[in-house]
Amino acid sequence: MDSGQRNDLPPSLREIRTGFQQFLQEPSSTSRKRNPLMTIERTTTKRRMVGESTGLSVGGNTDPLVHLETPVVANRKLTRSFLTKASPSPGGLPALLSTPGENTDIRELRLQLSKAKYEASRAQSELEHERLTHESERLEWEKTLKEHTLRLDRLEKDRRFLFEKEKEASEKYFQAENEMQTLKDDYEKRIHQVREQATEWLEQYQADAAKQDENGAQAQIEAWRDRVAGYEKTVAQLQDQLEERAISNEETLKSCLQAQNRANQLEQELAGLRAGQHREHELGSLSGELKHQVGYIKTLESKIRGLQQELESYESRHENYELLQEKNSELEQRVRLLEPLRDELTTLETEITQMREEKAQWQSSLQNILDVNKGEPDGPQSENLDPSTLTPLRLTDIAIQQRREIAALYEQMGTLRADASGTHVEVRDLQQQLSTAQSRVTQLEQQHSRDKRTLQRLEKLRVLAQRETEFLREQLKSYDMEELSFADDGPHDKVKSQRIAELEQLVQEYRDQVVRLNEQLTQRPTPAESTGQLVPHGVLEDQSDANVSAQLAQDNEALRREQTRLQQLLDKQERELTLLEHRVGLGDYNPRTTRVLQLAENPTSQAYAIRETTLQNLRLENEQLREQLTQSKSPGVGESGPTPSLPSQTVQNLLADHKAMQHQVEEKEKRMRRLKEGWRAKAQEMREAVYSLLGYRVDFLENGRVRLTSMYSEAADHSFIFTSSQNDSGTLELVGGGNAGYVRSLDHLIKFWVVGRGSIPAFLATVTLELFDKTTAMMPPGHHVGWRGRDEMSESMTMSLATTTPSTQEHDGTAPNGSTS
Amino acid sequence: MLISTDDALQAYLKQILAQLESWLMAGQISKLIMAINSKETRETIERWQFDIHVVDTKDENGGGAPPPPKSEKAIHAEIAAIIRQITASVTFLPMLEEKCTFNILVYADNNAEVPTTWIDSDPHYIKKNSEQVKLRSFSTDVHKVDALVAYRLENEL
Repeated sequence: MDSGQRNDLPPSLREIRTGFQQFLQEPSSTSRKRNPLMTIERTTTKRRMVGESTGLSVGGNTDPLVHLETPVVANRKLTRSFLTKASPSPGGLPALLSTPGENTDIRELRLQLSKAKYEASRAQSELEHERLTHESERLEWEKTLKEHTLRLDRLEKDRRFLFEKEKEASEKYFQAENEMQTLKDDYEKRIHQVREQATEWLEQYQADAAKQDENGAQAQIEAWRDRVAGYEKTVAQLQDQLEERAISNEETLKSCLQAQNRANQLEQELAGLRAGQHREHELGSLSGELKHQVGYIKTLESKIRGLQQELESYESRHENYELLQEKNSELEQRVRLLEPLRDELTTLETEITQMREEKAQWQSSLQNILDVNKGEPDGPQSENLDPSTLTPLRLTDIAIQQRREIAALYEQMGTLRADASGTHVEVRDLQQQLSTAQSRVTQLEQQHSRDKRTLQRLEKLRVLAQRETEFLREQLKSYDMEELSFADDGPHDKVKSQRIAELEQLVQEYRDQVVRLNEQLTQRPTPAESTGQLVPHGVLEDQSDANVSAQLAQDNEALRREQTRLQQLLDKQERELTLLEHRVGLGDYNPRTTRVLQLAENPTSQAYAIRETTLQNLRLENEQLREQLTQSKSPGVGESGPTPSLPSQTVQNLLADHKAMQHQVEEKEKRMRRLKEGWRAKAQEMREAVYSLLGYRVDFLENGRVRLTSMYSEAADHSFIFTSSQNDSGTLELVGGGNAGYVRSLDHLIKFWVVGRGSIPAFLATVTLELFDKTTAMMPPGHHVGWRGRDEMSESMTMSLATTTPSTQEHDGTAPNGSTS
Repeated sequence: MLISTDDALQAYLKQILAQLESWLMAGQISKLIMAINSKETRETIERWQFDIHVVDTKDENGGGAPPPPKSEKAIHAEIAAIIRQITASVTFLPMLEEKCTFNILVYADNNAEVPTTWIDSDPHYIKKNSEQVKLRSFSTDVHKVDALVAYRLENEL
């Protein structure tokens, strides 16, 4: 509601202000602008009337004089004079102005008269103009007055509205004050209670709780403070609103005063205007109206005064209001102080309950622990634990102590584990060693068993050897016995002793050999297994070996014989093979299985057939000739007459020959024709090429002469004739021209190029260039001469060819004929 | 390599080759011979012999997997080698100083089908003083060809 009021007020004031400004400005600017227009409109209507009455069309003439013409002085003369002035052309109305020399005075007078009349009319119009301006001013004034009254009404309405609002505000304020008072009382009471409680709680709390709770309380207190700040803000806003209202009241007062001032000014102006006005009746009415207006303004002023008084009363009220606001703010501050305390109280209460619950839990849990500990009397802290003495601190101490013990135990365990791992490693090493040792043991055992076996074998061998020695000794004994029995034989003694010694030596050798064999055996334990069995049968084997060798030798002999036989066979076979191969190479075949075939129409047979026929023919001829001979030799017939000397067969043979020759000739002619055609085509091509490239048509004449006609020659007989030099090697000499005059005209060129420089090509080129210049001099520049020339060339080429072909044919035809003949 | 442009010769060869193909496919041919004869004496001067061994595909008694088919490139290479040898044989073959003709003979099976255009012929032996040189051979999947040239030596004896 307050903001709406504020928005409403300034526009109204503005309207008032703008209205006054318009009121002050309009008489000076807008009204004066409008009045001349009105006059112009009027004059134009008059002029139209004049035009209609006189019957003369003024048309688009905008001369100012036309405007000033009045209906009162619209006589003929004037119009005539006007017309003369309006249209200064000499051919306008010459009949109306009869004698110029006589009427000069009259004309001047007329002019003077018209001038006077013009001045009078001008004065009148000015007067009218002024009157009109005053009238319009008056109307404007009335309008502004009406607007003003309307605005005043609006202002009054606004004021009333404001007054009501203020009343409401004050009522509200009173109510608020009362509420505040009651609230204050309540709060004070409650604060007292709370404080008491708080002191109690605080005491309790400080005894039990930790410092953390205080922080929470402080936060709450801050929240309370924030709220108080919010209240302060609202109070400040209210104060601002009050101030604004006061300001607005002042503004309305100011505007009223301004309005009064303007009214006064207007009065003064009106008085001034009244003094300036001349016309009595109009002015009288105007002054009457003005007086009426002045009276009205006075009533307005009185009203404004009343409003001012009201404003003053409002201001006094406003002061009261401000005082009340101050009180209110004080009370709010107090409330702000109280509210955090209340919140703090509630939080403290809740915290205390929590603490108590916690304590109860602690105690119950401790009791439980104690009960458990009592069950185990060995517990290290059992004697220290009493439910009464147990506090959390003590418990934590106990817990720390126990943790330390646990840590110590852990350390011990760690060291033990390390030891265990060390021992594990050792055990593993030992196991590995054991396994290696076992493997070695097995190896050794194997070796041992092998050794054993060899040992056994050796043992057997030894036993065998011993037996042999025993056997030998017995033999010796027998010898001894023999010796004894033949003791008488003296010479035998020595011999026997010698023999014994030899035998002993043999035995010794044998033993040595045995030992050596044993050594060898021990050195080679693996093959001993295989040889061990053979060794005892050594003697037997020796015997069988001999048999086998003999047998083998026999076999060998047989085989060798076989081999030689086979070798011989092979050689024979190979010889046969080569022979056969040769035969095959020759083309031999088995007529039973294969047959040799040939195509009936083969070249060999054809050749042979030809030969055969010729041979037969010749044979026949020969016989016939022989017959003829015998006939000729026989007398009578040969001399009788010249009977056909040639036999029919010879004639036939000759005819056949003739035919063959004819055939050959035909073939050759055909070839010649083809060659000629080819040459002709080539020659034509050559000529054409020469003509297009070098610009000269080359015609071969008889006697080896050559005629050259330029492409650009002016006349058909403008040509050069060359003749080949003596040895027909292709070099040419300039002999003359088709037209002697023409050649003479080129004498200087011939002298310069042919005689002087010895160059026919250069001479021809210069001639070509000159002719080209001559023939193309008549041509328009840009015309492509080359193409035209070519077209002409082709035409002329065909013409020339048509003319020259018979001669060339003749030329070509003579040579082969000559050669053939 | 030289290729003949004589139409008559080409027609002749074409006829022979067409017949040869049928015989080859039937496996009824054992030799193909080109004999060069003297026009004058009708003696055979050179005798180019190509032994054809047709591989009997129906023969299963041999056992074992048949050898893998030869690549065309390898066959061409073998043929090229033979042709090379034949052209090189100009160096040792005696010069042909007289006018000669040639004839192509076929050694066919007795029971082979013979068209009427073919007639029996003598084997065109080189009668005296013959010499022979074995040339390379080539083989395809179907047949194996051994080449051999026999020729009459100059009159040295």
